[in-house]
Amino acid sequence: MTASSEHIQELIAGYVLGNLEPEEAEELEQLIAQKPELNNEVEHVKASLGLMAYVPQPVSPPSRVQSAILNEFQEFHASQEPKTLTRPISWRWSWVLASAAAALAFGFGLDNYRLRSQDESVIAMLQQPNTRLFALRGTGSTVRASGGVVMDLDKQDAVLAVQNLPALSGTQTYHLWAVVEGEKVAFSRFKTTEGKAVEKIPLPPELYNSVISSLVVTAEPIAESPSPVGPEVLVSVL
Amino acid sequence: MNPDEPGQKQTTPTDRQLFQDLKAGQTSALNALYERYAPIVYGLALQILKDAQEAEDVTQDIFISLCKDEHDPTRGSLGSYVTTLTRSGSIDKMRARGGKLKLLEHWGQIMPLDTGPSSLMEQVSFEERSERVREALGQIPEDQRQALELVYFGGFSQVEIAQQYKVPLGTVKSWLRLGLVKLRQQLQSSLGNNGSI
Repeated sequence: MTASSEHIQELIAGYVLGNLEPEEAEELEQLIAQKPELNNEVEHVKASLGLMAYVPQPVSPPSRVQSAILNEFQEFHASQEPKTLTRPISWRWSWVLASAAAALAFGFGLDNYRLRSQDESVIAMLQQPNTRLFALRGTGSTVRASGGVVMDLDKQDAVLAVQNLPALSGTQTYHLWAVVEGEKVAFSRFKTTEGKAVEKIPLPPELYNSVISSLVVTAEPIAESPSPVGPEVLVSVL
Repeated sequence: MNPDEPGQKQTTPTDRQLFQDLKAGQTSALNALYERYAPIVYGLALQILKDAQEAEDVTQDIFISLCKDEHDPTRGSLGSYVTTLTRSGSIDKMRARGGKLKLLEHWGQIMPLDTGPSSLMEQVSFEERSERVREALGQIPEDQRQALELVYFGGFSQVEIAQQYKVPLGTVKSWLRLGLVKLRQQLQSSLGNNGSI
C-alpha cells in the first residue's frame, strides 16, 4: 500500500466517523470523483464500524420483556384480523351472488334482487359440485334481517350477504360462526352499512375438513370475542 | 447454527422465513426471532445505556416495531437491521438524558452490514461473527481501540476523550481514524476475502 492509499484510507475513515475537516472532505470528494470505485471502500469501512455492534456479550433480557412483546403482538394481530380475513367485493356482484344462493336454494330473503344471467362467475360458483348454500333468517328482535352464505369448498372461499341488520354500538361487531359438531367455530366478522353487508371471505383452515351443520351470526360486545357471548341475530335455516 | 445457511433450511428456518411467518401472525416465529436476536439487542443496549430498565425498553420497542412495521428488513440483513435499531434507540435514550452524542449519533445511522445476507459476515453465526470482531478489535493499538469504544459505547465526544487522556484533539481524531482503518483491515484479513465484508 502506498502512502497515498494510506492517506485515502484515513480520509475515508474520517468521513465515516464524521470527523473530517472541510478541506479534507473536499479532498475526498475530489478523489472519489476521480476514482468512483472508492465508494465501495467507503461502504466497507462503514460496514466495519457497524460490526462494533457485535462486540458486547449477548445478554438474555428478563422474561417480562418477551411476555410484553407477545402480548402486544397478539393484540396487534387480533386488531388486524378483519383486514386480512375479509375482502369487500362489489355490491353488484355480491348481491347477485346472494340472490342466486337464495333463489336457487331457498327462494328466501333476498328475492328482491334479480339474478343476472351475464354474471358467469356467480353461475360458475354455484355450479361447482362442492358448493354449499346457507340461508340466514333473523331471530327475535331481528326477525326482519335475512341473508345467505355461499361456500365453495374446493376453492375454500365463501360469500356472505346480509340485510336489515340493526346498527351496532361502537365496540360491537357482527360475528359469523360455523356450527361443527355442536360447537361454534369462528368464521368471520363483519360490519354493516345501512343494515347491509357483503363480503367475500376465505374459509378458515380449521373448517376445511369440517362438516358444518349450520351457521349463526351474533352481535358480539367486542371484536376479539373468541367464542360467542352476544345475542344471535341470524341463524341458518334448513 | 447459522440461520441463513441454505443447507440448513430444513432444520433451521431462515430469518426471511421467520419474518414472513411473523407477518402471518405466527407466535412461534416471533419466539424464534426473539431467541435469535433478543440477547444481541439487549446486550448492545445494555452496553451503551448501562441501565437495565432502559435496555429492556429498547429491546421491547425494537421487537414490537418488527411485528408492526410494513418494511421488510429481510431484504437486507435482519441482524444489521436490529442492531442499527438498537443503537438508534439507545442513542435516543441517551439524548433524553442530555448527553453529548455528536459522534455516536452519526454512527447510529450506519448499518452494520449494508451488503445484505449474501455477505460473508452474514454467513457465519453470531458467536463466530462476534468473536471475529473482538479479535480484530484486539489487534488494534490500545489507545485507538479505547477511543473507538469510548465513542461507540460510551457516547463520549472527541473533546471529552482528549480531556480525559490529556492529549490534543487532533490526536484523538487520528486515533479514531487509524483505529477504524485497522479494524477494517483486520476484519478483511480474518475473513480471507479480497475486500468484501
